[in-house]
Amino acid sequence: MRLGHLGVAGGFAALGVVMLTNTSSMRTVAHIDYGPALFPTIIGWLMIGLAAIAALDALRMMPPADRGGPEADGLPVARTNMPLFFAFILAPVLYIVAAPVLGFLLTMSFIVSGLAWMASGRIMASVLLGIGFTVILHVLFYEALRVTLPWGVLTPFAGVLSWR
Amino acid sequence: MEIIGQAFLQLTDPVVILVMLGAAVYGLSVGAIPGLTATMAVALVIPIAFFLEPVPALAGIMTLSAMAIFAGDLPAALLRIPGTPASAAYVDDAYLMVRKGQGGLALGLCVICSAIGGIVGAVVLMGAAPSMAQIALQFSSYEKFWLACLGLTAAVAVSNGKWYKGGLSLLLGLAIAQVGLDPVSGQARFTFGSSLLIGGLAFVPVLIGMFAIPEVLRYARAPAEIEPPPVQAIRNVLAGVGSVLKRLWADLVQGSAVGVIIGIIPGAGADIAAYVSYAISRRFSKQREKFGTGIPDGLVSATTSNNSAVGGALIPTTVFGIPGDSLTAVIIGVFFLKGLNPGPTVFIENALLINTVFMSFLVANILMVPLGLVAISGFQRIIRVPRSMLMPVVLAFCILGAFAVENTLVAVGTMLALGLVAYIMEMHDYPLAPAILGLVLGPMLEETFLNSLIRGRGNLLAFVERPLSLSLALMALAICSVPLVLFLWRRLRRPEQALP
Repeated sequence: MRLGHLGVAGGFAALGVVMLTNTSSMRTVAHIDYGPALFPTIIGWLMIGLAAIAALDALRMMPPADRGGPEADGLPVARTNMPLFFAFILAPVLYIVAAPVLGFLLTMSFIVSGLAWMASGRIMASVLLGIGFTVILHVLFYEALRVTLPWGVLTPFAGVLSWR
Repeated sequence: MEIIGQAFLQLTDPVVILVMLGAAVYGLSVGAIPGLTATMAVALVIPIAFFLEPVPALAGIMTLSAMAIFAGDLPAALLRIPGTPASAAYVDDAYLMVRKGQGGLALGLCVICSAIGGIVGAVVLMGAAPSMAQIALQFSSYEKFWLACLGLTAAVAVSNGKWYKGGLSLLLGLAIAQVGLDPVSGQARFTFGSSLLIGGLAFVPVLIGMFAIPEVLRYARAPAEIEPPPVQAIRNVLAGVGSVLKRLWADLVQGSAVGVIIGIIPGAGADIAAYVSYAISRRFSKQREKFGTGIPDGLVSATTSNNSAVGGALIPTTVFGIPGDSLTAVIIGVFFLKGLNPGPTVFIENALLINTVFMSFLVANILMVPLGLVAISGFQRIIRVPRSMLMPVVLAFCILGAFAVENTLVAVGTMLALGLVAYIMEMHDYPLAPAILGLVLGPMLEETFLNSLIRGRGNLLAFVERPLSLSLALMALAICSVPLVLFLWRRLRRPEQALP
């Protein structure tokens, strides 16, 4: 946990450094003395300063529970479900990769069914939920709100699968 | 007065009524599910609001906000789990009343007091906002700059946990707001050569990512279902409510007033209003030792206060463009999306629409009584929805919501990235509300800062030359320095211990 706090502080400090380095080469435009770099520079320096305080505070944390270990973040290992956790993180990535190829209907049905199955262990209910909810989303966004959704491999059937 | 009548007429359109009813059902359902906040509920429907006409979209959002705060009382009373943070202050009293067989009275008080608080908040909003806008019209860029500073410093000061964590969260929001073209010279910043980032990071994917994804990931990491309440817990709603309110009328007035006042303070919100109101009632009660043991005295003022705070928070939101809390920060995003740019001029340029928004908030709070009673009877069905089925649905809504507004897959990536950042921040006790306020106020803060510098030709004293700007500056400085002074004081007194 202590390492986690240090890591977060380090992340903020790194973001501050990125802000400073990215704006250092920006020039002011003619007739305006205060350029686009000024405000981000202030934010960058403040971020580095506060991140240093956060890191200092993290280093001073001494309780035994904060030395890492199985219950470091307050959750017993037995209660955690890391495969499900990573599946939820990877689901949007899968959508980004697969939706242009497979289309919205297939990709979203697969994602919802898969996650529900992993979480509940009930395959039929999960598949029905995946298909049913995807159809509801499709009707709401594509048919009613006129949002363009990818059809992917189902493009030849787009006319049959919608009443637009 | 005429414009208020016109605003009411706008709400009689069948589409608007339908949207408000749908938003009410959705708000009551999401608010009743523990762990799903009112802010998240609003963030998730922004993509739908984006495609609706302004009046139904904004009326729906206002209805949803009012309903979600009240619905948080249901799991608080029946499961001892606050549905939203705003219900946390009186969770013990509500739950123990249910355990004593007074479930109907507890929930009846929740719905009636919430509606009264909400109506008071709406009436104050409708009366005070236009008058304050007249004053705000006199503000120059200096006052606007200090006002934005005041909002941001207050957000950090009242956020839970350590002050520097609130500060870092705020700076993250400000940093996100820097992506895209700078507001004065129009140069691209932090786009890393990508044309997709020239317009900045899209607001909706950021909101969905920061408020919905952490909830989903928290469930995924440690999945757990919630035990439904006993059937006999919900009976005879409203029985005895009248006599209790007659006895505790002063608490009702106190809760309404405190809610509005706390709501107006930038950064504070419904949850803080409820805690303050509860503490005041306890302090002045003749049976203060019984607070927390399941008595209505602990319930009335706090549950009134959290709903009136929403109306109070909408005053700085609409008049100055400064959100009162994270919920109104999200609502302000919807205002911008629908072309209703908050600020004093909105009461001149968009008078009918802003009054329609206020009127919809008032109507939503009146509707809360019948719809709230239905929600109480339907709560057992809502709570029985297994989370293993609900969370994949929420994630699917997040993905499609982020995609729909921008129509680009980059938005889905933005949502995921910010969601992971928010999850890690929450894991390490960093509050998220300052980040959203920073994101919303960032452009205004930078623009007023640079314009003021240009106007004063670099003279920093110009920032405090006007009496009003000096007053606002001193207030911001005071709010900013209090946690710092406390921090240094504790460090000096206990150098051997960990930093506070």
